Amino acid sequence: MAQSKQNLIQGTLALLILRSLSRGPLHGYEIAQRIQQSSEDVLKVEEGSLYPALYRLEEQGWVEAEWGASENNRRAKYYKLTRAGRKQLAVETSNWERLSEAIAKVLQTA
Amino acid sequence: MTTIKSIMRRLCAPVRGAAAVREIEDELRFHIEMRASDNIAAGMSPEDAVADATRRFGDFDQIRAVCEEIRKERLAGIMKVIKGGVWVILGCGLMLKMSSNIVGVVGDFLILIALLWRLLIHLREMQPDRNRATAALRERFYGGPLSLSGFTEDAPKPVPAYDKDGGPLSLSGFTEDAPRPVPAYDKDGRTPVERLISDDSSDETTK
Repeated sequence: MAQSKQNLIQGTLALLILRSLSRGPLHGYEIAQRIQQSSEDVLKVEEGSLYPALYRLEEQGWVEAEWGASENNRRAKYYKLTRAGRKQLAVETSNWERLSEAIAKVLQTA
Repeated sequence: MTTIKSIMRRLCAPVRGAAAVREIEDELRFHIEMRASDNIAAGMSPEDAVADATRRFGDFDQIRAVCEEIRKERLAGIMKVIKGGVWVILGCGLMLKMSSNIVGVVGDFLILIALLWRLLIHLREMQPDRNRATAALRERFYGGPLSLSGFTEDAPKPVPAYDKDGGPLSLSGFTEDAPRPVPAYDKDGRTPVERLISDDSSDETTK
């Protein structure tokens, strides 16, 4: 599938990660896969950039990490949303909806 | 229980530097190995699978360095608390030492703990600062647009949008009291942004 170049707004990766974790704990690779699958291969997280984003979210207290066994019995670091993370997800989702609606209005009228 | 474990891990973080760095490496390697496994499952040879996984991941050392730096930033706040704690313990120890012989033993013990703790902190701070070299890289990860597929260093940077006052376009105009815009969905239930993305993708596919 051809990949379109998307200039996505800064902070969107955090929103996508938080949303991916809203269903339960995932390790980094699963988060990347979840985003790609949910967007039907339109969005592909640049794999290396995922981890600094995850560490930043952890620093902000929006996710917490714990080592556990993966599906293939390997040791993996699982991330899960904290209570603050759930609140932040709601805020970020609301902001994104407002932004997309605003852009939609501009596109319709301009 | 998880919260207690989380607090304990944070408190112990300053003295487990090497272990924490190893954890970062383990986590990044796990990602590459998972990608390689998927590649093999998709039919690639093991060599090609690992090469592809490594290439897609990017610069391992730089990414590890960025993660380390973020971890250190997180530790900075904890270190302030710990340093404060050292002085409190030292003060208590000195006061107890002056009171009587029996209590003075406890005072000696507290002073010893405080001094050892301070020494440990000092040794940790003597580690070479590897952060500066990663500052530019952090800018790439956090200062620029989101790193999603198709957006490369060569791709044009997004043109900043300005409002009528010359400031960057923001959501500030929307308050909680303001009437919310009605979302425009098409017959498939997609928002205009979703429609644009999928139309754009299909256009490129047909090309």
